[in-house]
Amino acid sequence: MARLGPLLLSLVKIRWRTLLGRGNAEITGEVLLLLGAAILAERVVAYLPQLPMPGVVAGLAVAWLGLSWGPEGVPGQFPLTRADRMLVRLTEVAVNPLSWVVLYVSVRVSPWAPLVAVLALFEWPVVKRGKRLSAGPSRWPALLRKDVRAAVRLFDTMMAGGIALMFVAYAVREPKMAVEAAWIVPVVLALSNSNLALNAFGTDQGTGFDRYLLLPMTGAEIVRSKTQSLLVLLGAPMALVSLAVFWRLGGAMGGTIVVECLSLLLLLAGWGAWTSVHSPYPMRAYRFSDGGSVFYGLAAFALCLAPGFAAASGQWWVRFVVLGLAAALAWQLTGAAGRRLESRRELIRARLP
Amino acid sequence: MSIRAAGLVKRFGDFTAVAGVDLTVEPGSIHGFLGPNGSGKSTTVKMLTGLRIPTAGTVEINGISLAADPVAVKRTIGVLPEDLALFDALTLWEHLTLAGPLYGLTAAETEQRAGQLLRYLDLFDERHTEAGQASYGMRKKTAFALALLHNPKTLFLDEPFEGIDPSSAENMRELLVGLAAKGAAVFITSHILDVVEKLVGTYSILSGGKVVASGRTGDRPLKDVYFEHIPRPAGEDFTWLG
Repeated sequence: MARLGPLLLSLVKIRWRTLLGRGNAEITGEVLLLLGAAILAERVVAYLPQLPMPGVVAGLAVAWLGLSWGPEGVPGQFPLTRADRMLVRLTEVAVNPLSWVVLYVSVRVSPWAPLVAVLALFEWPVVKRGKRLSAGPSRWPALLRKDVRAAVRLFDTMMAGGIALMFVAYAVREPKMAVEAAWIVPVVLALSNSNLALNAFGTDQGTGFDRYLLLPMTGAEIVRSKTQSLLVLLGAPMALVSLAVFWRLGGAMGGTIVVECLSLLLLLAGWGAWTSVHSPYPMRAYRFSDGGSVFYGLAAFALCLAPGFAAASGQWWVRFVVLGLAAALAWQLTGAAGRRLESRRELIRARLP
Repeated sequence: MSIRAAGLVKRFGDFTAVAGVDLTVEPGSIHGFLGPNGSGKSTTVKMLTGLRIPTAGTVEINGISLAADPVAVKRTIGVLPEDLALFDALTLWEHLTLAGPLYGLTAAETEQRAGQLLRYLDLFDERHTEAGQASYGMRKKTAFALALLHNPKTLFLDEPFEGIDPSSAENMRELLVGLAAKGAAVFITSHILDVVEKLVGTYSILSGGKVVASGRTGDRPLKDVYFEHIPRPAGEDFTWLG
């Protein structure tokens, strides 16, 4: 044990320096996300049956494995026995505040909720190891294909796809679709993909961003290429939802949802281009919380609500005013982001791993 | 002149990585840019290729000011950067087919050149591997092929032979010599003095962010010149070792 003391102490230091270091809004975002889950747990706990202890244990075991994202390579360099490795692993988990949040949520709500979430977020091999998925049609421009391929491995995109499919399933099963569901779902889709919009270079990481800089492309062309990818990625589930609304609620409501979706796409494209150039951050496949500036994230949240409220207002002119404002914002901000990318390239590169 | 840099300075806060570098490289020459770790070689290459913005100084590549028209400069240069700059989600082949049209090549030209380069670098059979799943050597060869694909007038290579198997390294050397013979300028950073000495015609040695020596190879053994300016640490007693 004394032999391992310096190593274990180093792991504690690494964990806390990472957590408390500057520019780690990402980790804070995850903690906030799980704390939010904990608060929700308090609200719904009365309605859920208490599940048995073996479930809690299984959930925590999986959660710990996934959440212990410590520097595995470091212990790997040392001559450690199997028991040593286990101790190192447990130390990594124990000093991770996320482990304790998961423990709390598990105990308060249900062991199965974090089990499923953690399986999806951290342990799903397709997500975690980047196993090859569909390459996308080969006639697509390569930059678009690259963005789509990287994005479909993100939990954000999977969640958006899942929500869209669930909405279609709901439309199939329920002929009397609730109008509220129709205008809320596009907002949820936009919010679930806001990470991808607000941090367009996150999937490329630093090395991919360098390639953009080496290619003979202007800043405006780079931003335009990213906007194009976002429109395809977010437009696809929105198109699915719009079709379901047309089918069940008719042309007028379908048209309303199309205007709402267009407004959301334009708002996210514009605001996302701006924040991608001004507040990039490292992005991981299994994380869907906003890891960038809290202000930019909240602003995106507020912007995404506007088209939803407009759709719910029942006033057609409000919807078109929002659409017009969204188009103006997209035009101005993507243009400005393109111009500023050149001068901010070092800052962007420095923030991407 | 293929490369002309004057008074290049790069500061990161209080730290000065590059402290006033002047460089000229002529067309048709292979220039070795040498120096110990942390001397500012890679930072200089990044400034010369537009990956970093100089704190002070000017860069002109192939007669075009990098600050005034970076896209025009990028069309004329090929770069193998330190971190290879590849997209993890694209296959090795897709990197080349992405780049070709951006440099004005047709799809047929791109595929023909990409196939030739990958075959010559013994990478053709692996071409459908995603960069994120490829080995370091495969990634480096792809970045090298990307640098050559559009027949650049000036080529910047940061440690091109590190991590490359001997037969591919030999083929890479042949390509570089052939390119220079046809008038292109090649700018290479490397730690391997023996390799550099056989390949380059001119050199600069960087230390502490400044050029401390420059000249032509062949006048004196490069090793002698290098160690004259970059002394080896010595004087420790290692009798406990072995």
